[in-house]
Amino acid sequence: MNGGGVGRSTGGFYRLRAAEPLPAAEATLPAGGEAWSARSEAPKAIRLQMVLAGLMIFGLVLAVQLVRYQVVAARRLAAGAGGRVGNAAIRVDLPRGTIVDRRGHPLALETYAYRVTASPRDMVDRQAAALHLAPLLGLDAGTLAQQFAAHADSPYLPLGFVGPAAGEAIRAMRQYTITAEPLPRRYYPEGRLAAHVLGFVAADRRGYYGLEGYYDTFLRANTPYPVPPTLTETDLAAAGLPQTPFLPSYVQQDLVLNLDRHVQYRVEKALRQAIATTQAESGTVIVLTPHGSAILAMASWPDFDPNRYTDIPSPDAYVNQAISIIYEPGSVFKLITYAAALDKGVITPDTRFQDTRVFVYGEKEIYNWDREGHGTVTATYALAESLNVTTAQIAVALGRTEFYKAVQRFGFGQLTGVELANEASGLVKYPGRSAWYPADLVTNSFGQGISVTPLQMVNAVAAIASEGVLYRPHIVRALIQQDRITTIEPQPLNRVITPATARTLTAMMVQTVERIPDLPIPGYAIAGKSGTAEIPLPSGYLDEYTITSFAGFFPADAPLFVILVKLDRPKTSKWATYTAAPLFRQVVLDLIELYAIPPDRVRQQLQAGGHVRPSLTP
Amino acid sequence: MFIARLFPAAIFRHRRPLRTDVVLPFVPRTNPIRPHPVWQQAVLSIGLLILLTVSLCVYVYQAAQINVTGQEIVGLRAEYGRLQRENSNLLAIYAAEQSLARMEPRASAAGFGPATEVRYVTVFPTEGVGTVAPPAVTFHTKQQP
Repeated sequence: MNGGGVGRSTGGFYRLRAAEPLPAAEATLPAGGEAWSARSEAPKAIRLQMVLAGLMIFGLVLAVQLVRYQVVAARRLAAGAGGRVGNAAIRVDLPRGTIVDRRGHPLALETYAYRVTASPRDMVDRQAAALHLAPLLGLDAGTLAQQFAAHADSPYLPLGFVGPAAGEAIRAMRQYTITAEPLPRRYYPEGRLAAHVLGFVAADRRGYYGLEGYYDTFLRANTPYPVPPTLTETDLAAAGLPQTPFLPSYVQQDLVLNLDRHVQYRVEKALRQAIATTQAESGTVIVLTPHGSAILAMASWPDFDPNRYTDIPSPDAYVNQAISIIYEPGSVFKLITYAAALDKGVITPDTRFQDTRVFVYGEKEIYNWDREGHGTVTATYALAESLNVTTAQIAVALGRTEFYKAVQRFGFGQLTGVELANEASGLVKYPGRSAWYPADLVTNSFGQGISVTPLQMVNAVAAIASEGVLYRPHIVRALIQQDRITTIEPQPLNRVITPATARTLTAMMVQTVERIPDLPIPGYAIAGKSGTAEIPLPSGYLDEYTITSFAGFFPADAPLFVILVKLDRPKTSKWATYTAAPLFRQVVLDLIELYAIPPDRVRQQLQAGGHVRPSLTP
Repeated sequence: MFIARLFPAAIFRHRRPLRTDVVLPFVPRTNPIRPHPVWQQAVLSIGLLILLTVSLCVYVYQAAQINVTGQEIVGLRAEYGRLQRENSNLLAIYAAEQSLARMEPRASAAGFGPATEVRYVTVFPTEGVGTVAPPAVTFHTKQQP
């Protein structure tokens, strides 16, 4: 900093000695460089501090973000990833928990297969090894010896999978050149039964579709040798669960379902027969309990065998049509329109309407299914005869606001929250949105221009059966996790209509069923409604085929079961009364037999005496 | 230069050279540790040797025990795994035998079938010891479709 020092020096690190000659360029600096240098010290120090402060802030932000993602939101983010990351991290030797139905019968459990490998390179006597191994593998000793010779330099020769007996015999040989590694395999003892509900476990030991997909992380064990179970049969009984040798599994991460395999079996059988009879392309049946919306059966066709999940004609077979496919419900949706109108006092069962041949609203012409006018009719008659014109008049009288409020209350256009993978939310157009037109009010009122899933529809009908309370549908009854049992209680979502409205509508539905030929079952009051829906195309509606469905519940005075059946494109008839209704009737008959439900008169006598109370408890 | 800035010259400036003209007094003392006799040294050595041997034996025994127990645990664990697998496979066979797809044909072959007539009977519960209410029987027949 003596004479001739240049202002470039900062802090003295590069301070030049006085004796050193100045570079030519710097020597020409103006006089007063000393003063200029002194002045520059302070701003440079401030700049340095600012840079340091900036770096510190940057580091702090990084640290905060690190804590945020790794600690605070770690669990949520990992759950959101849905196990899609870290493919290589999944171990194939980790077993999964058991899935049982409401009676304790296993629907999915673990078995073991043994992967046999050899190391021909390290074998002392390949001929002898082949002689010992061939019977266990079911191979010819000569062929196996040739295989060893062909891979004489190989340290790893896969020889396929064998069963438990052969696998353990190979392990007992204690030959380090031949190994039999036990690997868990998912086994579905009921085969195709409830395949869409269960899903399947692929070779990577991940669950796909259904419960296997939804509860993939829960079902998978963390270690190949979990600790022995601590829960006893007493614990299971105390939680109201069935006592079965299949529970708890040694993984102790098990699911107990509401599903009844007997009902499921009958329902699937009835569906297959109906598909064969009507030559429909596909179909769905759902059976719920009204109070709590517990799923007793959920069947779809075409189906697949989860034990041979690759043996399918198309990946569409994996899709659970009950929750993943949306359709226009047709006249079954009139129940929602009538429920809302009854609830708001817009109509009573005896309110009269003038049913004309055509009703024009919002530049849309509405016709009845028979293209005829029925004259002066009551609301009950209009529902029983499934009159579009009268239903449209009711919707107009109700008003768009109340109608769409009811649609939303009944849960349409939103996920039901059922514990199954790949659920669809449906499609509802609301007023005020660009895609909505005034004519949508009247077409939506009889189930056209609105798309729902079968589960949404049957759950809405279940709300009518449960005196107006909408429940979240659930298929899992309890989760067993180590020494803890979590029972899933019915979860009421909201009250959609009053109990009085529900009872009134139920009476109207009973009359609807009684007007359908061959549907009523003597001695049993059944409430229901059919629906024949046209299939939408980009350019309009398909004329040739329809989607037919029937939804209802019984016994009408004290409902135990809510049922929805749906058939896609039946060929024998396009009307639900000739295709879906017989299937519905068959399912009702099966349930009557399985649960020994007496006729209404007998049941009412018994209940009055307090002797027998029909129950779903197995 | 950089090091010079970190460690100012003042630190080094006050360091004095060692003085060589000062003679420190040194007074030799007698050894305070008196050597033991030879036999005592021998006993001490043998004792130490025995102690070392015993300690080694204890250590080796413990290590061997740990190893053996570890092997037993490994064996038991392998046995546990084998039994688990065997139990799983047996349960799978049991479940498969109970499957409805297998039971229905066997039941049909054995002559069982859907009920064609259902009769509902009401049996009144016992009302106290020795008294039984009159049985009221409700009768109904359901025809299969």
